[in-house]
Amino acid sequence: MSIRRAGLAAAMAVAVAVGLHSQARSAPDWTTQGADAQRSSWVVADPFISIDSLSKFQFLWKLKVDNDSRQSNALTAPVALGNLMTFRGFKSLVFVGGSANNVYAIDYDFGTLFWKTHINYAAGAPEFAGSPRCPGGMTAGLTRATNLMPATGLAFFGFARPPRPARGEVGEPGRGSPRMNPAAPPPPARGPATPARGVAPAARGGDRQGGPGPAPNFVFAIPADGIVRALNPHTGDAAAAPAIFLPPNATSTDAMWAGGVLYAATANDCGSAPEAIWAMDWEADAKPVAMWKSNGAPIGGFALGTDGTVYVSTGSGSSPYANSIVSLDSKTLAVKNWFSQAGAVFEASPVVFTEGGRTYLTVPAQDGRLYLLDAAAPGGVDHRTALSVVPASDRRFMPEAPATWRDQQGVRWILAATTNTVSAFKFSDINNAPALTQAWVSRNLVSPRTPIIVNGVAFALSGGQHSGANAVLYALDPASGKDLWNSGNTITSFATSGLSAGTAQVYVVTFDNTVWSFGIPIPY
Amino acid sequence: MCAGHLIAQAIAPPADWLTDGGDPQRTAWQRNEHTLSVSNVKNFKLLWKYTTDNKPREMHSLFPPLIVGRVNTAAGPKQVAIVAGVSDNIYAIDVATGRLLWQRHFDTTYFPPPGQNGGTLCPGGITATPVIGPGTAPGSYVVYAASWDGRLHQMDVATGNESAPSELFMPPNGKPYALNLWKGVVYTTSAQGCGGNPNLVYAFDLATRKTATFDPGNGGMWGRTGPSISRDGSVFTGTGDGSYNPELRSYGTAVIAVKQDPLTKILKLSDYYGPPNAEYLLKRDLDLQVTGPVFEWKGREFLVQSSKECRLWLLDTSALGGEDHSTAEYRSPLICNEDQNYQAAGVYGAMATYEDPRSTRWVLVPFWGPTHSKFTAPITHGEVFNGAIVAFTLEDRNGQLQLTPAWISRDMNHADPPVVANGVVFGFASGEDNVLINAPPPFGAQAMTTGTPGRVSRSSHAVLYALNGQTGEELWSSGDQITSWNHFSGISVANGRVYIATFDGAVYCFGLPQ
Repeated sequence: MSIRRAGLAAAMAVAVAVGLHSQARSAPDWTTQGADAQRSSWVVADPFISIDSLSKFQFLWKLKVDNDSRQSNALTAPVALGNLMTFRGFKSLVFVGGSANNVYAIDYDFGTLFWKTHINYAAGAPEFAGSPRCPGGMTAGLTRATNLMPATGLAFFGFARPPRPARGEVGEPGRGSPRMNPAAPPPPARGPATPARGVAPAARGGDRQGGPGPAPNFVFAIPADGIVRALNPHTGDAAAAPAIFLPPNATSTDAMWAGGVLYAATANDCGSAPEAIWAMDWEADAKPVAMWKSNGAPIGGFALGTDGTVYVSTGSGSSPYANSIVSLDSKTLAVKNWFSQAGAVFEASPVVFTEGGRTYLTVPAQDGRLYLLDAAAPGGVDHRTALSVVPASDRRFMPEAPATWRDQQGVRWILAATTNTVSAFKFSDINNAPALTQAWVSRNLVSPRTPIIVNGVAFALSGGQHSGANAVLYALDPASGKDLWNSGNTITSFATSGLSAGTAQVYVVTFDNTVWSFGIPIPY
Repeated sequence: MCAGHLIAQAIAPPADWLTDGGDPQRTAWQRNEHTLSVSNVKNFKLLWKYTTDNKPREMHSLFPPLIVGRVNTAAGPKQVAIVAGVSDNIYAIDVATGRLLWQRHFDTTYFPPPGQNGGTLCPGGITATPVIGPGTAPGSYVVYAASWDGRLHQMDVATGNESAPSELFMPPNGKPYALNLWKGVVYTTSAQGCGGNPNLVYAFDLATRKTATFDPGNGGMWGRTGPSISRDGSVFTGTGDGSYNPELRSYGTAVIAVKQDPLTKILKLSDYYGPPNAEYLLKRDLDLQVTGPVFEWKGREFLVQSSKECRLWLLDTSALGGEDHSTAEYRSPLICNEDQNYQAAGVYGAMATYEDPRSTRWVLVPFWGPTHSKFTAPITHGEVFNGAIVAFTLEDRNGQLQLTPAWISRDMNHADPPVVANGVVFGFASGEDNVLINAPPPFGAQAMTTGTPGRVSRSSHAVLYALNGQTGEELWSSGDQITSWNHFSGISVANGRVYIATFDGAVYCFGLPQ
C-alpha cells in the first residue's frame, strides 16, 4: 500500500483534534421530575455538554404536538430513555405528557414523533371540564422507573463497550491463534471419504437469559381518570393492566416510580382528592395504594432518600403537619419524623443530597429562607431545629424545587429559583456545623423554573408569562452565575414545565404545545 | 448462440468460483463466463437439485457452492461443486450430473456443554464458507475449511481425503465468516463473540503454520463473504458496533486494513476509515457489516463499503478516508433504511462490482427494506417494499469521484449479495424472515414467536433473478422452483450455471440446457 499521508500518527492527531472519535456513552436518563429520586435536577455527566463545548451549543429542533392545552397546563417536562432497542431500530426517546391525556414519544436524535398515545378517560365519574385551580386532564409529569441511588456517571449505550487498544499477535507454529487454549490433539487423517454420512452433535439446552431488569421499562402516566397507565416505550400500547391510583379529576403532581412504588401528590382538593401523598405498591399483585393526608396543608412536593424514605414538604394550614418537612415510610407512608417551623410555607419539593456520609434535605420557604435539615431527623429532637437556615433577604422563592450538584472540587451547590433570579448557595460543613452560604445571583429572569445542571453547566429557564414574555434558556457559569449562552428569541411561547435533559440536549416545553431541544449537534 | 461464442467456449478454460464472492477482492464478478449472456439467460432451467443430509443449526444451513471448473479425478476431469453445511459437513457434487461425489463430516474435537445454546447469532458448527486453492499437481485443488472446533482442514477436492492433518486455527465454537486465500495465507474474520471468543481477524500462514490475529479493539467483523484483499495483500474489513477511538487505537464502527508482516507473520494495522457519524452508527447499531469489494479503476484501487445505515463509502485503498481518516472519496446519500433500523433494513452481506465492455465500472448493492423516499435512479422497476439491488456507475466529474445511481431492480424479498457474469446480474431474494424483534403486543395479547423458531416459521422461499446489468430489467427468475429459503448464504456462478443452496439442505443448479 502506498500511503499518501505523512504518517498515521499525524492523521490520528487530526482526527483527535476535530473530535471524530466516538464517546459511545450516554448521559444518565432523566427519568422523573427533577431527574432522579432525590430531585437533584443534576445530570452528573454528559459526553457532549460541558463548559468547554458551549460554543457549539445551539437550537437543535422543535416539535409541535397535537395536544390541547387546559387552563395554563400544556406539556410536562420530558423524561428520557436514551437507548431503546425497538422493533423499529435503536431509538433515543423522550416522553412528554400532554394535558389532554396524551403521551408523546419523540426520537430526540431527529426531533420526530415516534408514537403518540391518547389515554381514554375510564373513570365512573365524568371528566371535569377544568378550572384555573383544578385544570383537569393530565397534570403530573410522566415517570419511568427511577433508581433510588442517583447515577454516578456515563453509561455505555447499546452494544458499545469500553474501548480497548487494537493489537496484532502471532502464535507459535501449529499452536493455533495466540492465547488459544489448545484443544484436544487433532483427529487422525481419514481415508477415502465417499460417501461419509454424519451429523454434528445437536445443540441442546435453553434460551439465553435476557429480558428487562428488575425495574419495569415502562412509561407511567397518570391521566385525568386517576388510573395509572403503564405504557410500552416501544409502542405506547398498554404494557400492564391499568390500575386505579388516584381519585378522578385530581390535580396530581410529582409522579415518580422508584423502589417498586409509584408515588404522586395531589393538590388543591381537586376531584375528591385531598392534599396527600399516594403510594402504589406496583410489585404487589393487588397493587395496594397507601395515602398520607396532610389534613389540609398544601403539599409542596416530595423527594426520596436513597433508602426510599419519602420527604414531603407542606405549606400553611391548621394541620399538625403544616409548614413542615415530613418523612414517611416508603410503602406504608407512615410518618417517621418531621420538621415544623411556624410560618414557613414550603411550596416546593425538598431536595436530598449526601455529603460526608450524611444525608441532608434542603428546601426553600416562600419567605426567602432556605432550610438545611438532617434527613435522618429533619427537626432534631424537638422537630423544630434545622441544621442551618439561610436568612430571608429581599428574595422570594418560586414554588420550584431547588437543584443540587457537586463540582469537580467537591463543593456542594444548591441552586434555587427566586421570583426573578437563580440564586446559588454553597454547602459547607466546618467543625460539624453544616451550613449554606449564598454564592451568587444570576441575571434577572421572568418566572424562573428549577435550574438544572448538566455536566457542570448550569441551565436556567426564564419561563416567561402568558402576558407576553417568551421563555428563554440560559447557560450559566456554575461558579459565578455569569451568562455563557442564551436561546435569544428562539422560543416563541412561555414555559409550562421545567427543564429536563437527554444526552447532549436540554428541553423546554411551552404552552403552545411545542417541545424545544437545545444542545450539541451530533453528526447523523 | 453465435459461432464466435461457441468457439470461445470451446477454447476457453473452464471458469472457477473458488471463494465466496468469486475472488479475493470479493467483486462477485465471474470474469470468465463465456456461456450465458443477456440474450440467452431467458432460457435458464433448473438443471438439477441435490438434497444433502445436512442438518440446520439455528437459521444456518448451507453455504454458497464453490466451483472448480476442471478437477482431475480418478474418473477423469470433472467440474465439481463444493458445498459446506453448518453441521460440520462438506459435500462435493459432480456438476454434470448433480450427484454426490463425496462428503465429509468433520470429527469434532469440540463438545458443547449441556444446555449451551448460542441462539440465532451463534449457531455453532461451520459458519465460514470454505475456500479452494491450487493443489500440488495440475488439475488438483485443495479445499480449506474451518470446522466447529476451530480447526483448519485441508482436503483434496477430487476425493475429499485430507491432504494435510487438520491444524489448530481458531478457538472452537466461534463465528468466522467466509475464508479468503491470498498467497498462502488463509484469512477470515469473526463476530458476535460466539463461544465467548473475541472478534478477530485471523490469518493462517500455510507455510509456517502460524496463526496471527488482529483485534480491532472493538466491534465484530461480520461481512458475509469475509474480508476482501487488495493487490498488495492488504486485508479490509468493516467493524461492527464498537467504540471508534483512534487515539486509543480502538477501531469499532470503522473500516480497517491490516497486513501481514512477511517476516514475523504478525498482522499490523495499515490504515483505517471512521465514518464522521460513527457515534450515531454505534448508538443505532448500524454497524459496518458488509464485505466491501476492492477494484481497480483508472490506475487507482478502491474499496466500496456500506452498512446497515444504507449508504456507500468509496475509499481509496492507498489512504482510507484521506488525511483525517474520515473523508471518503465519495459518500452516497441514504439508499434505504429511512427508519435507521438495525434489523431487516439496510445493506447486508456483500456487494458486487464489475467493468462492462465499455469500461464502465459498476457497483451493485443489495439491500433490505424499501428504498429511501429521497433516493431514486433513472431506471426503476416498480416500487420496492422488501428489498432490491441498486446499480451505480463510477464517474469522475471534474475530479470529484461519484457513484451515480443507474437503476433499481424489481422488489425482492430481502435482496442478498448478487453476482455478475457476462453482463448478467444474478440476484436473489433470500425469503428469510430477518426480524429479530417484532413489535411487542399490547398487554394481554399473544406475542409472536421469537428467535429462530419464529423466524423459521415466517420465512418463505428464495427466488433467483437474472437482471440485465445495464438496465436492471428482469430477464428470468426461478419463480416458485426453489421451495425453501436461506440465511446468510449466497450464490455462485460459473460456466453457464448459477447455484443456490437453501435451509432445507438442497443445492439448486440453474443453467442453460445442455
